[in-house]
Amino acid sequence: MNRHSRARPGSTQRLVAVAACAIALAASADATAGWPGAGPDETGQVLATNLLLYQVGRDPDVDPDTLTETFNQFNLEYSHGTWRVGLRAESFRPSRDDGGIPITYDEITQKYVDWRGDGLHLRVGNVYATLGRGLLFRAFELSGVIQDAVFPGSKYVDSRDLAGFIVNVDRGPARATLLAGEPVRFPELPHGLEDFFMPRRQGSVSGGHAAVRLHRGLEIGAGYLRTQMTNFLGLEELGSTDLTVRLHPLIPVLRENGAEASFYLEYGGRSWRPFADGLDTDEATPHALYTATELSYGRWGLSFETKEYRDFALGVNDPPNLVPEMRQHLLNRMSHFLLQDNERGHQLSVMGALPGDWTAQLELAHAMNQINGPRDYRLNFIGLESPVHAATRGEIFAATGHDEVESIADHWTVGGSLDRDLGGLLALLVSFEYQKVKREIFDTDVRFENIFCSVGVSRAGLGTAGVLAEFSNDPDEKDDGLTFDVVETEPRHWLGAYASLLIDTGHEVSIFAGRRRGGTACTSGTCYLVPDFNGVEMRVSSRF
Amino acid sequence: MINTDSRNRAGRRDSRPAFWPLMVAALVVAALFMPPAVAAEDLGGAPGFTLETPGGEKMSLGDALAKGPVILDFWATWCGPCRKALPHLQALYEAYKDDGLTVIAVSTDEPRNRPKINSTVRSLGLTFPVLVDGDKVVARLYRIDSVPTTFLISQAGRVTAYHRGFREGDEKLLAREVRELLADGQVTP
Repeated sequence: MNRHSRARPGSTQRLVAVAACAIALAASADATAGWPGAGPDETGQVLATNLLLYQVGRDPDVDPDTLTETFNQFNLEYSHGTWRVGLRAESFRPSRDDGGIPITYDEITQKYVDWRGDGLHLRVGNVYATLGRGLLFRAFELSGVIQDAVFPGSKYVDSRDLAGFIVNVDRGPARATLLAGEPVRFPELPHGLEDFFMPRRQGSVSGGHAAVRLHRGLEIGAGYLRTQMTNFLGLEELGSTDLTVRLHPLIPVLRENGAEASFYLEYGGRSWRPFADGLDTDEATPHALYTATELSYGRWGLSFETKEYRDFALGVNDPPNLVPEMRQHLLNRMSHFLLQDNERGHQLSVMGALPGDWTAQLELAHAMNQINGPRDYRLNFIGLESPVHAATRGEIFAATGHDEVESIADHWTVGGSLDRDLGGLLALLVSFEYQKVKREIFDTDVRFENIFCSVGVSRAGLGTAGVLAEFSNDPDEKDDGLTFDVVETEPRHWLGAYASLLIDTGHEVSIFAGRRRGGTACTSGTCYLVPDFNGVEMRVSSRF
Repeated sequence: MINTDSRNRAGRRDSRPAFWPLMVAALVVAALFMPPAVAAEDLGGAPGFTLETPGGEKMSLGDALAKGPVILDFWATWCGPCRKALPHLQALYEAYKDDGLTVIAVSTDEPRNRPKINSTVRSLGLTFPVLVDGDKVVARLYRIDSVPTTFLISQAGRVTAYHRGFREGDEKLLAREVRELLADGQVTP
């Protein structure tokens, strides 16, 4: 019998055991349990958080649409002085399996023991770390983001942690990180299917990073990572070096005039011999090079970043992307996935204050990939925000760009939002975005439009309620994947209502009902795909 | 064959349970008329931490608590509500810093967005300490699952208020909580 065919008895027992432990710990802990204190005389405290998602309905292009699904994540932590111990239990229970593939699971997905002393931090279990700015290794999670696995349909929280240990040392001008463990090889594979398909974790990594501050304005660092994969990648050794230069501590006239200037460089290489190879950026040399220049003066700031990746896809814990993550709804969907095998690009960002406390933002991003020829990605954005303390606040923006990887030859977007203080802690929120797109496929131009608007009311300390509407006549969106013999041609629209309510300090409930458009979504620097949704969902976030 | 009716979609839409819109409407009504869920209470000890500013200077929560209560705000450069909340925190800081209040804004930006922290801080005119939590070590200590999330911490190191997200008017509630905390006379000069 396959262990995933139903909720596994062993897992259920573990969950019961976890619940029993939680009750026991809660009973033995400080009555004012909440955020664990760090003081040495602190009595033991328990913090429990829970995230519950219940959905009726699903991706309308996938039968059955009346599916009900429950995803739950329970986090429990007990702390005493400088010690912490915790675990995470996750559960996914759909009303039926996906095409005969068993997808129900109840698992303890994370556990850890953590100790912090003066300048020293040890953690064993599921750990997170970024070496340098992430060229070599980046173990992270998208906390609070519940992802939908496309096939088989399942739900999980995208956690790309390392199952192993980490040691952080921070003493005076020096700091170092050492880590080792089993990385997440297939982050898109949901929990519960490790034995059915393949394990989420595969291989091992070990390494670290050390940096020393030679002066307030000068810091150098070096990193090393050894990866042992069970696939064709086999054993690899990677190295990196980084340099931080801050000019304002070195040049008094900058500091005296409130100006700052800094520069960061990080280079990573495969089988890199630092003294023999140097910072080799030859096309044939597997490498990654990242630079960031920051300038600021008065109420203006500028950053300019460059990136260059050649044959640097490590297979686990990919480096961070480098295109602006836009908070505007339609632009957030037009982001770009980093292709580490071959990508070069830059990003310029300028933000500043205008007279009357208005603020302005300019973003220029460019990425160039080689995929059967050059593939260009560009985004140009300008935005203007009114003073935040006014009774009516507004924001307008305009953007243009193209994305040859996605066959988008041209797009331009305009939009704005308005917040109006209605008095009595009430506020009205309105936003509108319009986008025109030209897609080129085999020398054929396809033109379409996207529209997004929302209207809502919020009350401070209580919650928000409103309506979201989206429209598209994109031919790719119009056709229903379930009707193979039919090609729908009518424009599509998505209409949904949402409401959130703060029950008390520790509990918040939010409900969405209606249709929600899928596509690319980006959160905290990581992009992922979201399927269409048609139905009702309820999310409950709790702290105990 | 072309079908402009999209009847399959329509059919599925009709199968939705009808009581859900009523539940949503009930939540809306409740949200508009219920009293605010604001409580000045002891929500436990605030975990201690030390982080760096974008300029590389180290600062600990203990340093700030030595002066008085602390507003601890977790934010990110890509987060719209965070950008709305931060100028309100600046106004609170300016109003009560002479009474010992410190605001600490902890950026949870990934390495990719780190160069934008200074630009954001400058353009919004923030003068309180901004710290960088790139690996989200402190965010995990405080169990942050969305930004912005704001804590009010008494000088004794206890969390007395907590706000998840930002809605227009939240700054008024936070100001009230700060005034209550300062009025309690918990500040040690």
